[in-house]
Amino acid sequence: MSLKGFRYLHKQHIIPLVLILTLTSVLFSVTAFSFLSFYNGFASYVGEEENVVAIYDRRSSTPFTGLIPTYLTEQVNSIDGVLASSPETITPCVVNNQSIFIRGIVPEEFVKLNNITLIEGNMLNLSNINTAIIGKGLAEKLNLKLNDEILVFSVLSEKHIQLQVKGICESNPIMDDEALVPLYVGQWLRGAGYSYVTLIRAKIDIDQLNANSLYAEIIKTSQPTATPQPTATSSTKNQLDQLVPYAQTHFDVDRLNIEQTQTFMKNYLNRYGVSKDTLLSISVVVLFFASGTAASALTMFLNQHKREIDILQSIGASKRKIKIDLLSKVLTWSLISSTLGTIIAATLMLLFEKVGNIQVLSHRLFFQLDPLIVALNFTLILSLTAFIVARSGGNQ
Amino acid sequence: MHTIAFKMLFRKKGTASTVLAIALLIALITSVSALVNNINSQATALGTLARIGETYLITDKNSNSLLESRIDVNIADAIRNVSEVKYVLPQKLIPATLTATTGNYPILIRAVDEPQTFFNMKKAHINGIASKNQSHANVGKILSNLASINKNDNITLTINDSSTIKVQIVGITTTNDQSDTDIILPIITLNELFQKNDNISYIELALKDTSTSARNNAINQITQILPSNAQITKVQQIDTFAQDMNNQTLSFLNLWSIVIYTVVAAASYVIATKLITESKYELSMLKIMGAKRSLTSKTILAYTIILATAGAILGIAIGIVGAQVASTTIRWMFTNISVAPFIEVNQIIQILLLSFVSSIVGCIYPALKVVQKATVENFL
Repeated sequence: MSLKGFRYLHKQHIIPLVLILTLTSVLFSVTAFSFLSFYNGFASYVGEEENVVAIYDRRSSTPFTGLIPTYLTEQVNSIDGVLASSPETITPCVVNNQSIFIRGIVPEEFVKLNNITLIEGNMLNLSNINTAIIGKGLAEKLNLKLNDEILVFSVLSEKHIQLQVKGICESNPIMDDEALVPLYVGQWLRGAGYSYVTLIRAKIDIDQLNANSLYAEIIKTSQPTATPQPTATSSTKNQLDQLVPYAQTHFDVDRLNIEQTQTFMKNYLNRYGVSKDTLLSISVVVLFFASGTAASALTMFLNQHKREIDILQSIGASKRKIKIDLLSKVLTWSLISSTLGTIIAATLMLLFEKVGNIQVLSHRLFFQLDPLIVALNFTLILSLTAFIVARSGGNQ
Repeated sequence: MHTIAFKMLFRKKGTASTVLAIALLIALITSVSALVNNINSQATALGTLARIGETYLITDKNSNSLLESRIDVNIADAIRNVSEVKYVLPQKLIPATLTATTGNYPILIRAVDEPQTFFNMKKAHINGIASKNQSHANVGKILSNLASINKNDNITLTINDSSTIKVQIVGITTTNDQSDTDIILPIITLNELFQKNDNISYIELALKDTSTSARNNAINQITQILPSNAQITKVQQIDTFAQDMNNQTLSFLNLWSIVIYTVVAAASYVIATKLITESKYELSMLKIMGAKRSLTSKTILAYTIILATAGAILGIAIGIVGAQVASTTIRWMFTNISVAPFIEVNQIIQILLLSFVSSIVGCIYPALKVVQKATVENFL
């Protein structure tokens, strides 16, 4: 006996079921999308290009608090295969009672690693004293316009600085929430003197060099007996030498580490037990916690149709056939619910992004539609539905 | 009648599972809130552990910029009388154009009371001497590099495109702060230019390294000295930064909680509908025994709210225990990670209230629907 022609499930009971499965899916998707947006955003904080490496202090507990010698910039620049090197100081600060991050850079080198598009005003250069260019996100957050004056208070040192907004720029989403200042301004705010920077990013020719060989080269050139390398005549060296009074300080090279920029950030997250897998697992736990409601809704749905199922059995439909038919129908609605859940979650994330202004470490979260989350959402919701229907469907 | 109705409903199978469904959702919010509390308290604790300086700025309350800030110079003298004050540095910042042999540069003039004291307090390195009279000035190291200014050079400073001052550079200074890009000169040089002017841009002051209560007392005394248009701000703003970070985490948690409470409302809807579907017989019996229509809806509402509240209480307990178990496991697995989640009483009350409201929102529709259709025939 085929059950194809029988419309024994009521629409008024289907709608609440779809609604609850959709909500469960929304909860999972919103959790997973936000966690992954945070993770991906943080991982690409200093860049995501394969040929950009970060040279940093391995003993620092955060990516913002490490210190390495400024003079290494010159040393790195002189190595064959290094296309550009950008010394940077990243400092947490407060402007108008709001937390921001300020990045001290050598603009001429920085633009070789990051594309910056000016929306208004002029591009920064190292000789622009008392000025900053700010990302468009930060300009919106602090309600700043071109030529506005800002008073910056440092978090890591007892320094305050008066700056003028020289330009408003657009770059990658992370950089859009920061202010860029000449390297020495970042060094004042960091409070560690001119001889230190937070990190040096280097663009390398991957056919010639990798992170390990670059590290080996730096160690080699740091040896007291090493043959002096030909002095670099890059613009970085000239500008730094001309303006910034840095010294060749003693530094334990064992403290140095070099990694591809994304690996560098991921390693910091891993130190605190945060990885993509952990975050996905937490999202699955969230779904598991919400599955009680979905299970109740499915059980209620089956109970609501007990009478119809009994009638089908009395006219000769086997339990197995009823179960298969129920399963196919409920799975179809689960599929619809998961799709709706994903769409609603994506819309909510975009809404949170625009209206809610969700921030983590003063950087906005940007929604990224991760196919892995979408696939997980479908798989988990369908599995949950299939499990409950298979366990109780047809046995009512 | 109410007692009979409740006895009938609560003895039904499935009550425990519905309480558990809500409890799991509330456990999620509770455990995440407990973890966020821990993260926030760690951020705040970091702020207290770090060595925070005791430097303050006194500025014009109505201005966000030091260039626009105007305060009375006499405030500085009054503050000097406060015993816990280490130093007081009144400063005037004026934008100007520097003309050197290499060209013109837009700069800031930093006029200070006594340049020697200023450099001493800033622990500056001076190549030369500190300026002592109206014809002398110091140049910051970076500005000297930029404009190729050497000791004993003569420079011209143009203020407001009209007034000019010619000064001799008597020292190149390194302070590792913004004055490294400034021309620093005695305030009397500007007073002569702008006649007698008692306004300065701001006062920088530091407190002695004494007890917290003595420092707080000093800040109170200074606050009382200040006129209504002036404000005192701590320079190293760890507290503000940590507070802002905490607010960012909390606003994310709040948005996420909205989704959870929506699911709680949906769960309450399921409980109410399930009750109506599975208790047709009991509800009909009540009707036959003379129960009014309103009693049925009130019973459904009360039943759902009681289950949701029980679920919320159980959820809070599960959340707290779950977070503690998880954190203990994490501490065992990763000895370098210190997690100690906790929840505050006001958060517990908030979670209970919001669960209560969500459950009312969820069950109100099925309960009202029952009133509309509450005839014995409908139930039978």
